[in-house]
Amino acid sequence: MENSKTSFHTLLAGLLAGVLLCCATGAHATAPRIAPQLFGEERKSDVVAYQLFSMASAKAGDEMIAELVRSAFSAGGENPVVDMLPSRQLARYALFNGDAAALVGLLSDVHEKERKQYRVVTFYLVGSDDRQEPVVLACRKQNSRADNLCKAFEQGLRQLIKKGQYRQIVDKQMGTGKVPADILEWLKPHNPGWK
Amino acid sequence: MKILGWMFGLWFALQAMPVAADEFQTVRPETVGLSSVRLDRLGDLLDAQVEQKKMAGAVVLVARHGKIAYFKTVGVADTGKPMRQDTLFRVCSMTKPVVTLAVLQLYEQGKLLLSDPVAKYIPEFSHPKVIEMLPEGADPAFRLVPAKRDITIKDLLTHTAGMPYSFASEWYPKDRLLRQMHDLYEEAGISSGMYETEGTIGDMVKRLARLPIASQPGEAFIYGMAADVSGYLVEVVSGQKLDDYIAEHIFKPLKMNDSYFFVPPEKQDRMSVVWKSDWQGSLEKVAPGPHREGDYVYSPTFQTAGPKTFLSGGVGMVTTPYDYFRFAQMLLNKGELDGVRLVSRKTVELMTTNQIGKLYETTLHDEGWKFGLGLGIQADREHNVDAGDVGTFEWAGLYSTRFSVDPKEEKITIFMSQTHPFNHHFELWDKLLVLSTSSISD
Repeated sequence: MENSKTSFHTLLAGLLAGVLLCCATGAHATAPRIAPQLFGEERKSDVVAYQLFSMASAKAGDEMIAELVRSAFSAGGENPVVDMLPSRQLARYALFNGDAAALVGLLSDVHEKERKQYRVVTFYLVGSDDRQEPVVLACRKQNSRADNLCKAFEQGLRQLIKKGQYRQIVDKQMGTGKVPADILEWLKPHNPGWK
Repeated sequence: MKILGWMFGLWFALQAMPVAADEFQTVRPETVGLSSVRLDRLGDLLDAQVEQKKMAGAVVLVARHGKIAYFKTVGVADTGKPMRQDTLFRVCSMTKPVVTLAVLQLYEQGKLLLSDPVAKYIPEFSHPKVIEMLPEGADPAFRLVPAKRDITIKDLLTHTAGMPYSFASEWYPKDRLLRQMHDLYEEAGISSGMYETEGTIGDMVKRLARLPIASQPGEAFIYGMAADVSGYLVEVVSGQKLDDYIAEHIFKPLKMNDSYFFVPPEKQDRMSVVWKSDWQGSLEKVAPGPHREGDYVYSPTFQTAGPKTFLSGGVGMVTTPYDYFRFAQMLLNKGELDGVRLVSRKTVELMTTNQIGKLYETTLHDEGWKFGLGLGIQADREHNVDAGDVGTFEWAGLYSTRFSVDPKEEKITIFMSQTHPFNHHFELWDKLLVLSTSSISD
């Protein structure tokens, strides 16, 4: 009889403990006020860019670049998240730190000794005739997402040029006469592998 | 006995009533416990500065118990134009306490909390990154680490949000971190507001938000751009442009009828020009338009010329000594002036209490100084920079304007000139404040 009573009390205590444990897992009211996570969504982007043109003509030139990039990706069947950062240094940092798969910028943004690690597609040229600098999409070779993006971009770019859309975009944003008659020949010297 | 009781009650009630600010009238200093003879020393000091061509002109105002006891002008506002009591001055960073008050009015209405993440109202501030400098020679020169917590509205009001001024690299040329921040700000087109700037404050703040901050939120006092973010915050939360909000909710109720962000054409002839002084006797007018001196860009004309679209919560205000006296008197009255309450006593107490913990406010003062919300506060009288009493609160503007409020003595001291560079005036102001304090004779 004594043993039965003891066993019953033990069972009761165990049941009570189980009930209390279940309550504890739902105790949101006791959670700390300062949550570990930061407010809002963290920005994740596939491609980073920055304001390439001087402040004076920033709007038209950068809008042209943005439209060329969007249109080329779209023609190539991709729709990556492109983040326009306010600083060139930050955009380069994002690429080299692996925060972004690709960068839209100047060729000089990728150091010569590191260039082999990147697939680079030149899609515009800035500067004067005797000192032009390529505007590129630079993608990390070892990153499969980046590689796919670059291939899609390159295919899409060539389609834009072939269909005349490239010229339309440039003329609309920058006025006529900014690019030569044969755009493909203009960009070929900067894209080894283009036939 | 009854009569005595009534008299005591009346006296007590009168002491408790907030003082009203008098309309440009001055009283004999002795009626408010100040010495005329000692106050005249302020004028002598300023006259000497003008005679020595260290500055072209200035205005000084000393008030006590709500009454202006000394209101002196010296020198000229412009060639052939004497300084006047109603001369208009670009007060630069003395804009910050005004914008702070605007934020706190919205706080009192329950429209925001000081503990709110800034990202709640300006989403571009979500998930900030903190810049850490790597050893010299590293490429890149920095790395970015996640912030430990959100930047809060309180961080903005206490300059612990890690946002220096771009030109801070000029003040501390050996500081690699400030140099790096300057470079990033230049790339991003971040304006201090001290010169003609295209675009709106919102455009700029959104770009600023995407840049890293210079310290973990709350961990360092880094004076600078936070007030411009506060200004944009006022716009977002109130739905009004900053100048409209402040005109309606601060300037008008306080009858600050000569205070603006952009000065109307009919009042521009009352503005003092900005003078460049080497403090050795060489004085010249600063020509209109932007001027670059190293990393520092400034202009005397951004409030009267140029696009006039950029409303800087950090440096944008133009006002007169009398108008700013009314603002200071409201603070001294714990939020009320002439029967009009702008904020509660409790909010002014929040503004004038240390909010930066163990950090020090050493931008304008030294280690004996703390910072409340928008205001530097004297925490002890043991250090080199003394403003007369523990609890004194004050701030300054880059064209050599200053104000100081001593709550214990119910005294306000205001000095305004338009002299560049700023660093020349420190000795003059410290002496002025000593003379102001020393004029107390009760």
